[in-house]
Amino acid sequence: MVAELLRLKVRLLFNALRERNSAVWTVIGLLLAGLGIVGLWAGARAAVALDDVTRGRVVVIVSVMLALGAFVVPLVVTRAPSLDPRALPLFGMRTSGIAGAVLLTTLVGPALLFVPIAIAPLSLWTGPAADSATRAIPLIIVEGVFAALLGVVVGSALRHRPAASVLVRVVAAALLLAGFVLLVAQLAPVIAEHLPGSWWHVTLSVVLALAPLRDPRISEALDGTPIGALWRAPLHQSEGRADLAQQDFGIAVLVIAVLAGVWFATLVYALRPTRRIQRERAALVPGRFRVLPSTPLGAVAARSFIYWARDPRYRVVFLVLPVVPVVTLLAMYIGGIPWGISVLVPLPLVVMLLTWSTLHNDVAYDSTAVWAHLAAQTRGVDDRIGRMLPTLAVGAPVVVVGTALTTWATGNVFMAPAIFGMSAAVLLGGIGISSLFSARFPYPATRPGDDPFLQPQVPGVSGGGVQVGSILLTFLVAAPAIAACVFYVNRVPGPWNWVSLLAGCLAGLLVMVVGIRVGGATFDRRAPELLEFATQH
Amino acid sequence: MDPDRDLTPSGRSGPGGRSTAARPGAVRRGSGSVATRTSVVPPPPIEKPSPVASTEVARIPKASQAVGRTTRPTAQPGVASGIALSVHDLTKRFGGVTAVDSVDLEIPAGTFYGFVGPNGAGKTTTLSMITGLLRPDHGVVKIHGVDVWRNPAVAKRALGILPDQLRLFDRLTGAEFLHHAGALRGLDRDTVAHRVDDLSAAFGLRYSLERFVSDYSAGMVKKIAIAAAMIHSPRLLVLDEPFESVDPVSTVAVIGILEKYAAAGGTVLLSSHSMGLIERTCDSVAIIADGRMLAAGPIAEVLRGETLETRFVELAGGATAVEGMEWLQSFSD
Repeated sequence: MVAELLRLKVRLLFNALRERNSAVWTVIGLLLAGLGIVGLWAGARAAVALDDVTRGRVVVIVSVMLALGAFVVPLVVTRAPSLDPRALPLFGMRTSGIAGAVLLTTLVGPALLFVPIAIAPLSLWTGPAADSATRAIPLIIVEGVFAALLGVVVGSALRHRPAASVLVRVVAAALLLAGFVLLVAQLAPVIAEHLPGSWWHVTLSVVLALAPLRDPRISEALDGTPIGALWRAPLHQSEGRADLAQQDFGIAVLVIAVLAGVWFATLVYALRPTRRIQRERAALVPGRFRVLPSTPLGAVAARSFIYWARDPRYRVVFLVLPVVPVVTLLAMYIGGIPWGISVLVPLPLVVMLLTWSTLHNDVAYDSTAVWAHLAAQTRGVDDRIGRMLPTLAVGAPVVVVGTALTTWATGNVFMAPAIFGMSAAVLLGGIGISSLFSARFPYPATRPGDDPFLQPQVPGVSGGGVQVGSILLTFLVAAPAIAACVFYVNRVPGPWNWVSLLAGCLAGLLVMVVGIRVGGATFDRRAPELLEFATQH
Repeated sequence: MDPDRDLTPSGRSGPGGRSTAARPGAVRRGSGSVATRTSVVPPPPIEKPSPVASTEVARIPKASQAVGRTTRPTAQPGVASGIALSVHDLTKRFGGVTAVDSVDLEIPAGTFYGFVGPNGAGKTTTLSMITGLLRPDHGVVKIHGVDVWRNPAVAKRALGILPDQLRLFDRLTGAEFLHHAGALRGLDRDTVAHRVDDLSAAFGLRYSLERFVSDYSAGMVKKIAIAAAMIHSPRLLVLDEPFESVDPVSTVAVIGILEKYAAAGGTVLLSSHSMGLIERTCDSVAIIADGRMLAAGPIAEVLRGETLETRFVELAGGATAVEGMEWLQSFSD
């Protein structure tokens, strides 16, 4: 049985080399692992020359990185367990037998890499510390194997959750990077000594910049964690703290027990008897519809959010948006307008473009699909609010972040209310005006599925007047706020920045409410005409 | 379109197709699922009335009169009495052309009603006006006694529609599309989830729910649109060309669902070019040509012993077009 399993495992390992793609990755992985091991060995040898304090900190950081790496690297690299435990119950094995089989077969494979890694510290330590390091070797391998097994379990579970998987990868990369930065920070003074003297001003500034990271509290905090305690046992031994070294071994045994327990629990869970649940698939409510209420308004909003994400006609505006501030600032710089003024312009413009371009002709974007609203006699107000929610959801953060950035650029905190007032007026007012216009004055839009940069091929009607009109009206809503802001910038006495905030928010809210109400009523009245319009264009 | 596109994208159901016509296995499976599933689909028409009445009275006080009239006769379960659809003097002109000319139609509840006519006869225009999509110039449409154009909110609750030639929100997945339809009708989430499950099983769309509707074949698009039209369990279904480009197996399945629905008191009005299909499945039939209703009533009365095709050509006067064009019989080379 054992021989059979091991043969199977070896066969699986070599099969990975038969397929071109996976063979390439296997070779790359092995090369990287080899390089890492060589680096670790060389590092351990080199660390002998370090002073005690630096060596201690380096060992602490490396210990945590290695112990975490045993879990994280398999988690990120794995795609599926090479010998899935769920394949084994079919051969009449019980859970304990399967656990043994998985452990045994794991030892043959990438887990072998733990052996040279665990041996590396031997070249660093001498005397009693070396004894301690020797005793740690088998425990390090066992701990690594269990951590890696858990990593594989988590990693293969994450394959079904792409979003979480990406997040985990980002966190893993960040951790790795943080570890390396910490390591370099500790070693920076030592490295600086070996660099040519002519570079001194660069090296000095780098060493000084990294000084906060050499704070002893960091390594002390890391030393206090149970992660990688085994690697630190020889360190504590060499510092003459035999009790700490003993404690490290105790912690390590505990950690191994916990890891093994958790791993066994996941194994039991994976091996649980499953019944095919007939209704499970369809009973799942698709994403947006789970979040938003199951009402007509919620339906329109969910559909709008989905279209914002999937329909290039909505996405195209996000390609243009980042360019707008750059172009306007450049144009005004060339035009000789002072920075203090020109910096105020991009934010309202960006908010304007975002709100207006996505909303003011939204019904025409639906084309004839708008019949669904008509068939259900969706109330116009529901339709208007549902359509504007994505705009608000994207626009509000833009206003907040943009206000912060613009304020920072002006260097005057008291500009913030005025900037916020102006952009809020444009956002809310734009929503109101556009909600009204899309129900009352639709004009031919790019059809669903067409290139978003194409103009619709409809003779006669262009909608130019509607575009200009809706833009002008939106700026009219913002006019009081802009005027107050101009007063403030020109140092007219009075709290004009707060006036701008108030005027902008009030005018914006008022126009939004009125626009949605009137637009909704228009939609109620003209829905069949909207469909007829869509049929004709 | 490639028949394989009807299959599940992940290949979970193996190489077998659900809605491909050629497989005997698929036939059995399709009709089998109808037999088991449809028993779940039709009851909704019966359980509907009380929520309609209560919410509508609350929302639109003015409509209470109409509500009283609509809901009372249908309140007792199982018995669908009265007139499901009555159309009077319906007229629509486009410019100088009269597309629909003073059409009258009355459909008793529980009827499977066919609507036939040559191309350009005004079928779609009539159905669009009946369903509240196209404003008529003249005339009255009442669904279970409620005027579609005066009191659309109430009338459209009892109405499920499949328009022809109109787009769908096809960037949604199948599941999203049905949830959208259900939520638009104000159904709560659990009800929608339950009905999506039933409908997708009945229409053989279960393994396509996670694909975009834009990736569906033409027949699947029709099926999911019919499913969406049914999700709020309407009393009247108006389906414009429901079987265009739907494969025979699915057609049989859908007709099975519709027949059960009609048997439970629901009313179906469908248009089709397929005379044989209308003749086989419908209780009653209306024939329209040049915007005028030529004949309407129980199928036996309209046909007078002939086949629908003959009767249709006879009434619509298509035979004259065959005359002339003698030049086509003397070839030019």
